[in-house]
Amino acid sequence: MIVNKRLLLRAKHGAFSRAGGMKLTSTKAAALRCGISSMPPPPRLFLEVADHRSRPAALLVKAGDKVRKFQQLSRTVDLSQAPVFSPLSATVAAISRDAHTRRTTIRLDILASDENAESETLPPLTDYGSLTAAQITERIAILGVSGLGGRGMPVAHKLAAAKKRRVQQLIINAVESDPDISADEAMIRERSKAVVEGARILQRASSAERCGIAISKEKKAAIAALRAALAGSDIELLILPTHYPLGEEHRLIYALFGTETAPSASILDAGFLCFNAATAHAVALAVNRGEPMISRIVSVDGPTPLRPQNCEVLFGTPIWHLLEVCGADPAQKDRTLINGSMRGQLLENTQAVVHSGVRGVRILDASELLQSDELERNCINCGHCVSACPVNLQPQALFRASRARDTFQLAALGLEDCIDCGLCDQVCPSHLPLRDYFGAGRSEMRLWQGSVDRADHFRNRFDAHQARAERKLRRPQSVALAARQSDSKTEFSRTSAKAEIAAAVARVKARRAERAEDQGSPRKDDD
Amino acid sequence: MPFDDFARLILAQAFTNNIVLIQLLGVSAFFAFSRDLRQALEVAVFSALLLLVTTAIGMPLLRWGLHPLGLRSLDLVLLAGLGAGLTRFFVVWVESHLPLSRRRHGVGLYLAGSNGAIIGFALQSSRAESPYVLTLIAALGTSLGLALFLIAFTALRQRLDKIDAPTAFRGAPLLLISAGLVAMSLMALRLPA
Amino acid sequence: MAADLVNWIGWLLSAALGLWLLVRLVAYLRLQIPRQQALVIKIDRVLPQTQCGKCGYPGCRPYAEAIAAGAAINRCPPGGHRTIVALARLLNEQPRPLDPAHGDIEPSQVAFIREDECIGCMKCIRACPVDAILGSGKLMHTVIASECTGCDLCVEPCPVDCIDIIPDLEPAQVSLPHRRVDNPLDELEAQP
Repeated sequence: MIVNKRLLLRAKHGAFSRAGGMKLTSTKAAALRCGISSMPPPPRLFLEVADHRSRPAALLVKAGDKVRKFQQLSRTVDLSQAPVFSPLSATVAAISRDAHTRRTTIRLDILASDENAESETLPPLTDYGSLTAAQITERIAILGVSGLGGRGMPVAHKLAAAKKRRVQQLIINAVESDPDISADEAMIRERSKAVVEGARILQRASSAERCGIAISKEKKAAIAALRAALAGSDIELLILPTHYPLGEEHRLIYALFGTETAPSASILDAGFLCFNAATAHAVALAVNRGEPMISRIVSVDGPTPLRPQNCEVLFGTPIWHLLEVCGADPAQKDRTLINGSMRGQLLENTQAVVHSGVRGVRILDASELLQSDELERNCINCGHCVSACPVNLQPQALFRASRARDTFQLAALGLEDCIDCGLCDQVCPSHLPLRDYFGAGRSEMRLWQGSVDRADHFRNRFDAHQARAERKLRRPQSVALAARQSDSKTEFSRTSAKAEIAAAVARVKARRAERAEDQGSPRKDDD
Repeated sequence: MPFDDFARLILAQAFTNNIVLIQLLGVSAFFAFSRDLRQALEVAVFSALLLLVTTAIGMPLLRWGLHPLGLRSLDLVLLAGLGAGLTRFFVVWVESHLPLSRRRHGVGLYLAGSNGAIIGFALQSSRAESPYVLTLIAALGTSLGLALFLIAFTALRQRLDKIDAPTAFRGAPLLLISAGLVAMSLMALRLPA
Repeated sequence: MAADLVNWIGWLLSAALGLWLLVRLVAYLRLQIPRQQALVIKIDRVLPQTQCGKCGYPGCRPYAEAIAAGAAINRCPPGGHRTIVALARLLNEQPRPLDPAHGDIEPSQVAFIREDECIGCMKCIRACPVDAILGSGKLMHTVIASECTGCDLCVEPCPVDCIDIIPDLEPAQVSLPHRRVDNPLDELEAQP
C-alpha cells in the first residue's frame, strides 16, 4: 500500500462536490516543461503477446529471423486482439512462453545499423473520405491500433461493437485528470493537428453524429493548440473544470451531458463512444501514413537525480531502462509506481516492459512508501470516503463486505461499479488500503461466479447422464450414488465384488497363457 | 371518539410511554436479538399480535373475572398461563403454514412470546380503570411501540456488529449504551396536553 | 367545523394506514409460503453439482429438495464454506460449520486413471454421474479432467484400484491486505 502524503496534504478537503470526486493538486508542471523527449533505442526489446481465447499467440516469426521496422510479428484471428509489430529493425533473439501469465515474449535484439533497413508500411492514405467506415476500420485493425487510455482494447474491436448501435456522440478524451500524468497533454501541445485528424477519422469510422474533444481547463497551451487545429472544423472543443476523476468515461459523459451510466455498463448503450486522445493520434498515423502503433508517450517522474519528462518510448522497452535513461538511481528499483498515484500499482516485476497500458512511471520518495501494517487503523465511520466517491458507492460498507468476503453483499452494494479511482483510499484518515480490499472483493466475486459457472456445466452433464440412463439402462440414477446414499450393503460391496473380479481376471490370464502356449510364443498382456 | 384523542393515545403508548424503553418492561428482548432484519420483523409482528390478543382476552378475565372474586394474587399466574398458551397456539400455526419462518426462528418464537412486556401490559391495563375499547386502543399503540423497538434495535445491532469497537465494548455493552441513549431521547418527547 | 374535518381526515388516514399495513403484512406472509419448485431451483443453483452423494442424498437436486423441506444446510463438503454461506443467505439462517459426519472440506479435485493398470472393465464408467470417463470394454479408460466433478464415485468400483484423486488447479485463495496483528476484528473474521 502506498500513502502519498504529498497528495493527502495538498488535496483540498473541502472540495468534495455533490457528485463526488475531488480537486487534486497537480504535479505535472515539471514534466511538461520539457515537451516530448525521445530516447535512444534500447539494445533489447521484449514484446509480449497474450494468449487469446486460451490459445497461445500465433507468431509469424521464429528465433533467428531478422525483422524490419513495422514488420508484423503476430497474427490474430479476430478483432479483440491486436497484432504486434516490430518497432525497429532487429533480430528475433528468443521466443519464450510463460504458461503462468499466459504470455509469449519475443525478445528482439536491435540491429545497430537501422538507417539502411527498410520499414514496412501500408501505403499512406490522405484521402480517407472516399473509404467506407468498414474499410477504415479494417485498416485500423490491420495496423493493430489499440487504446492508449489504460485498458488497451483494440480500436477496431470497439468500432465493431459501436457499429451495431447508433453513436450519437464521439468523444476524444484529452481530460487526463490524473494529477501526476501528463502524457496526453504533452502530446497535444506538439501534435494537435494529428489528434484532430484522428478525431475526424474516428468519426467517419464510427459514423458518429457529433464529435467533440474533451479537455480540462487548466491545460491552456494544449487548448490553444487544439483551437488552432480545429479552426473551421465542426468538431467541438468541450472544456471541463479540473476535477478528478473526470477523465473516466462514464463520469465524463455525466459531466458533459448529464447522462447517467453505470460504470459496469457500456457507454455505447447510451449512444456515446469515447477514445483517448493519444489513441486518436495513433489512428491518424495508421490511416494517413500507414504506420502501425509501435510507441507511446510515457510520463516519467521521480526525485532527483531523475529529470521529470514526457518521453516517447517504444513498446517493449524495459521500464527500468527508461528510468535509467531519464536519470534514475538504480538503487530505487523497488519503489517504482506505474500509472500514477491514484490508480497505480507498485511495480513488482522489475523486468516489466512498456506496453500500451503504461501511461506513467514514477519513482516514489522513501517517505511515500509506507507499510500498511504499521499504519492501518480501524475504520471510524467518518464518511469521508462516501463523500469522495464519484460513483455514489459506500466504500466503508464495501470495505466491511470485502473483509468478510461476502460476495452477495458486495454485489448488492455495487462493487462492479467501482471505477478504482483511488479517492477513498487517499482520503481515509485511518489509512485503510481500500483499493486492495476492493481488489480482493472483486477476486472473491470472480471466484464465486466461476464456481457457479462450473456448477451449471456439471448440472447439464448430470441431467444428460440421467436422461441417457433412463433411456438406455432403465435406471434413474447411477448405482454407485445409490450405494453411497444408503449405507446398507448392496451388491457392490467391495470385498465380494473384488473376489468375483479377481476370479475373472485370473480366468482371463489363464486363457491368455493357454493361447500363448498354443501359439508357441509369449504374448504381451497388452490389454 | 375524537381523532386527536385516539392519535394521542396511540402515540403516547408507542413513544412517550414506550413499554420497553420508558416503562422498562420486557427488557429481556434486548438479549434475544438476532442480527437478521427479516427475522426481527417476524418476531416483532408476532409479539405485537400476541400483546393485543393477550390484553384483549386477559384484561376482561382479570378485571371482571378474578378481581370481583378477590383473587388478585392469581393475576400473574393466569396471565402467564394465557401468554404461554397463546404463544404455543400461534407458533404451531406459524410452523404449519410458514415453513420458511420455522427454519428461521427455531425456538426463538417461544422466547418472543414470553416477553415481559406482554404480561406486564396486560397486568397494568387490568389494574387501570379505563373502558375496554380504550384499553384495546392503548394495546394497539403499545404493540406498535414494541414492534418498532424490536426492529430498530436489530438494525442497530447489525450496524454495531460491523464497526471497529474496542473489545471491551463489543456486543452487549454497546447495545445497552445505545438503548440508554435512545431511551433518553424518547423521554424528551412530550405530547401537547 | 374545521375540527370535525380534521377529525374525519385523521380517522380516514389512520384507517388507510392500518389497512395498507395489513395488506403488506399479508403479502409478506404469503411470500413466506415458498413456492416449492422455485425454492428448490434457487437452492440447486447454489450447490456445487459434484453429484457425489456425500450429503446422503443421491445427487445435488435431491439434496436441494431436502433442504427446501427442512434438511440441514451444512452437509456438502465439496461446496465448502462458500456454499454454506450462500445457502444461509438464501434461507435466512445463520451459517454453520460443515457437519463433520459428511466429510471435510475438499479442495477442487479430479480423478485420474493410471493407464498402465487399467483393465478396461467399465465399472468406473458406469459409476460416473456426469459421464466424464471415456472408454469402452477392454479398451483404455481415461478421465476427461475438464468434465470431472471430483465426486470420487469411480474409486470404489475399480477392481484394480487404479484411480487417484488429485487436486485440480491451485486452490484459489484470495488474500486480504495485511492488518495489524492485534486487531480484535480478526477474531470476528475467523468466525464461520
